[in-house]
Amino acid sequence: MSQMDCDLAENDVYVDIRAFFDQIAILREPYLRALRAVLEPPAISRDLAAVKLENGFPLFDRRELKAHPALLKAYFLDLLTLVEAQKPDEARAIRYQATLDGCFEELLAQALGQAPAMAAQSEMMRFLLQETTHPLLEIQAAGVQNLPELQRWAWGYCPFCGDAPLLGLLDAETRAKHLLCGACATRWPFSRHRCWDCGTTGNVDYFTVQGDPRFRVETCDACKSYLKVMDQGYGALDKRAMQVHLTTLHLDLIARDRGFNRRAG
Amino acid sequence: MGMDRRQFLKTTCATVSGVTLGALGFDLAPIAAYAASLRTLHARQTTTICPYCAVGCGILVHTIDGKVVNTEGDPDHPINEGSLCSKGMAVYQLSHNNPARITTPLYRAPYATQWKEVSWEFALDKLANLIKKARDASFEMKNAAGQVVNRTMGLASLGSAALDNEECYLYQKFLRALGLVYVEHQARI
Repeated sequence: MSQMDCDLAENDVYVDIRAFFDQIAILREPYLRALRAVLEPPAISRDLAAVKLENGFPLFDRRELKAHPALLKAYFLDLLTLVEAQKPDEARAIRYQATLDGCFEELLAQALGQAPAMAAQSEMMRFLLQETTHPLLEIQAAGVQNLPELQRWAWGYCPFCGDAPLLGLLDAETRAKHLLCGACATRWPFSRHRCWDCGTTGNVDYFTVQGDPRFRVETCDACKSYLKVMDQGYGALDKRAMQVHLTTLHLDLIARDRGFNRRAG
Repeated sequence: MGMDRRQFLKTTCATVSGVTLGALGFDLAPIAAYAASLRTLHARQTTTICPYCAVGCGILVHTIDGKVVNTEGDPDHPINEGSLCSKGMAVYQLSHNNPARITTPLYRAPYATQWKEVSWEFALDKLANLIKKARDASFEMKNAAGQVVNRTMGLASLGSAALDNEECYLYQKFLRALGLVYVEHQARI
């Protein structure tokens, strides 16, 4: 593949989105460090973990997560400043809401518990809360990545937090497939012959965009779901999954146009 | 691509975990226009077993419109876990992309200098006739000591590694019925 081909997906239509995520990354680094300093690893016994994973239950219950509201609120407001330039009115309303007594803590609890009430919040609010709480999950998940049982997890949802996978990854050397959770960044091995959503095994249909073989979109005719899979033979994943996902939205559009869909992660 | 802005927003809503980039103030129309301009290649991944030796390694075959475009070791296969030997890695050359691949039986008549393509029916009839002729000509009902042996020393068989246990059983049963003594299998070589 030529360099020109490699650059195909790095085209101008994603310049603003990449710049936005670069700014988030600058804020995220000290936030992660601060969280690591105060968070304790999840107290999950090895026996309980084995039983849960063997029976298809994710290891972690988000509602058990001990949040640090002051730390999270500061990061939330920093993120809000980023989006303020683009949507000042909505951002101002969210800032007001977040500074009301106890309101932010309640929103946080809703976001961590994935409460139905979250659906009533604006999309900007949901994005900000998601960006604020996902690092918590990521740090907690990092503590259990070495569990051997995790490597035997055969389901299409995250073994740690239960979210749907955001991306698939093909290993450059072994060609094995892993699924990647967009919430807690857990990677788990998954069959190359199975649909992540309905579990149908057999032939796997996929499409690629001509000139950009780094991504393939695997589609399932049985359940009409799809998954973007990154072939790391063309370069390792060096960005957050969410950033990669949001800078390959053209693939989602093509998949949708062909009648495929996916449930929200 | 028939998609208006409203549908586009719904699309990203479903795929960005309930969040639309549009809600954050990004102009998504250029992405929709870019997606509409792209050409796609549709392929199918199928599993198969290597046709060569008795190990039976798993292979993933990728096809576009029924034509093989790539083969690779199956990382989920319990036998080879993604790895392949040099012959297995070259199995792509067995596909119809290879102009040298033989796709019909070939027959060279006695004293002829050229091979010619024949039908499967012709080839199987010819084989059956020749086996019967050789077997009848070399069949021994008794050995030199006068003991009943009902055997032929004029034919031998080398079984293919692609045969499974059940096929091997049936095959050797057929050979013993003919009276063959020299029965061997590739996997033991």
